[in-house]
Amino acid sequence: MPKLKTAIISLTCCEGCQFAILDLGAKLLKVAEFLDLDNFRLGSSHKSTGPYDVIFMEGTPITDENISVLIKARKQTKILVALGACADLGGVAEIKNYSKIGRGKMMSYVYKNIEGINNPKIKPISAYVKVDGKIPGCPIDKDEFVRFAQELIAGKIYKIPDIPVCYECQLKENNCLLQEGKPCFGPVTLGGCGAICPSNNFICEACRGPIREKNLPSLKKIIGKRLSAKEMMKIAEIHGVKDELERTNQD
Amino acid sequence: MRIVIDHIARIEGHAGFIGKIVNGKIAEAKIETQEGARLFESLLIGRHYFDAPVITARICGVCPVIHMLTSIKAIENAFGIDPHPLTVTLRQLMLAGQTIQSHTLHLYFLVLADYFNADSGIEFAQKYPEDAKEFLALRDFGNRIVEIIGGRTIHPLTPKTGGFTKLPDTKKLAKLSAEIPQNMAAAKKLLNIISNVPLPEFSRSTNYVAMRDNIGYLPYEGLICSTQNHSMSAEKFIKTIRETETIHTPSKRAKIHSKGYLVGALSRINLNSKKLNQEAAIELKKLNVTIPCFNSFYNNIAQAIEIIHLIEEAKVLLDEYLSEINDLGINEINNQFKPKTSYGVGALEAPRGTLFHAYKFNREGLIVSTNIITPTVQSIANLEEDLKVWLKTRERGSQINIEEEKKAVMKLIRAYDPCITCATH
Repeated sequence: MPKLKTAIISLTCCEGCQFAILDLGAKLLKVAEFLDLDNFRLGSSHKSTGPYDVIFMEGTPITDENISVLIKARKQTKILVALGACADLGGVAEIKNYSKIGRGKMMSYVYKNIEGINNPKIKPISAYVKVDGKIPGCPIDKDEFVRFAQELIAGKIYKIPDIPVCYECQLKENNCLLQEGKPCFGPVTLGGCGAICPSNNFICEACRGPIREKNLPSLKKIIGKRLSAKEMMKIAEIHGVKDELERTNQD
Repeated sequence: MRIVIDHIARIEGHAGFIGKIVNGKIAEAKIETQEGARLFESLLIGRHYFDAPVITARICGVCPVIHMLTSIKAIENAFGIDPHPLTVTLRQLMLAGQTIQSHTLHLYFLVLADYFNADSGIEFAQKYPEDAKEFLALRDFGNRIVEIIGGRTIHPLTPKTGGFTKLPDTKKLAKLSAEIPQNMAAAKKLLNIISNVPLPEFSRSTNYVAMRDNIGYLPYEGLICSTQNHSMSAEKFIKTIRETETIHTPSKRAKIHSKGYLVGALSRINLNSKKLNQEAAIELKKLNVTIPCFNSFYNNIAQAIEIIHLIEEAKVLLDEYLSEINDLGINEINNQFKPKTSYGVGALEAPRGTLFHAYKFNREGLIVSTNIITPTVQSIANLEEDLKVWLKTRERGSQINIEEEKKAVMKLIRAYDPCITCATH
């Protein structure tokens, strides 16, 4: 069977999702048997061109160049996958959308003399191009990447079951952080991560995005006993998921 | 003549290079970053202190541990928290794991391909599968130290101000300790490969800067020392350096008295080599390298020596933790504290050099101002100065071949192991 010609491309980000793939180690060499990782910039100096069967896109479109890379990628590939929270939701960069001081002032706080640098409102890649699938999280779960790759070979796009983080957290018999009064977003967040954060006694900050049938008002009520809704939603700013959480449920 | 490299592959982040040679003289040698403005320093303003380690870890996917821990250290210094010795032991283990994985990745996947005419780390791994297996395992060893203590390799979860959210499984730590010998063998093999590739001849003395204390090679506390200036506290050091901006790219260059300086493995070897652990010291001696070493390409040798040092260090730290933890629980280890109006600076040695986080807090522990100075921001001016000298002095035939020049430029840039995502935080 011919390999799928695959590229992993980074826009502006920490590149941690690409490292998660590299962290597969020996398993990555296995994945490379069926995905032709033709453009894996981090590991290669070989320049390649499309068309591609699949492009995994990590990072946030911030510069004009980022946006044109993204649009070009869409034209060059059959399947475009959002890799990680930055591409999927906007990621940490989206905190600036919610800041009261405003993007311009935030820029001049860091760079006093800069000129002509892009500083747009942060949007996920789906605001610019059609996206066919996603591997969410900050960072991605590397085993989910393998599962996604295996499904691709079978001609399918892996869809994460619409089950909240709480489900996996309970299976692991963790203490419920929400019951301890901590602002955990597990009930409204898409699982598949093995509830890795609560399993480490760290609240779920919703980096994988919301489930379809989320009940945010109910969560606000539970957390509201300890924390104002405003303070609670500040946590949802961290991975850029606040706007997605506040959107009304769609059918 | 212009040497333009659009994308420098096999470095962390996006950058290009522009060099100009006019009448045989180097008129320009500039690294151009291509990341968008990320504004991490302003993302933190107005947020709670406990968000800082979580958010700043996301500056870099290859060295999130060091950002997280330096951030925590800055907060602890501000609030006057003196962490439990075992908290420090676990943090030092995480730092060791972080640097073992980062150096191994850099040397094996990003650098060696340069010397073996392979295009990629993956291609290189497929050419020499047995070596690849061993070095992947070595990198994985570093990663697992981080994972067992931090809960996850990339963007760890457990470290927090005053301690940890959860203590590691001691059985898993004991297992790591048992894996030291095979990883030591792999680390020595990696050094052997690196020290046998023909590293270019090059010499330019500069100001080498690293943290230093009276105890170890990679101190948790210590003063910032340099080969040309007096040693000083981290607070004073970040006031001494000046960050200059380029007008059109969102990256900065830090200088001391208008001059570039170098941080990272070579600086640490030049300043602290006497404090290397036994086996690392023996291996360094065998190589007959004169210390201080002025050849920037030897940063790669220094990294390989550091991996050996850190594997010895990991053994000591693991044994220390396992023998002292006994019945101590998280409540005995974690500090209790209250936020207060304060200012704190944290500094630690990251894989690529000294990293600084500085925060000011109000009474509720909300962040009022921030300053983050990454290793690459500090070394990049020095790299550009090196590139000028390297382009001028390197041996070449009578004809200048642009492709050869590009390769030479990239070789030096890669030897530095720059992290462009950190540079444009």
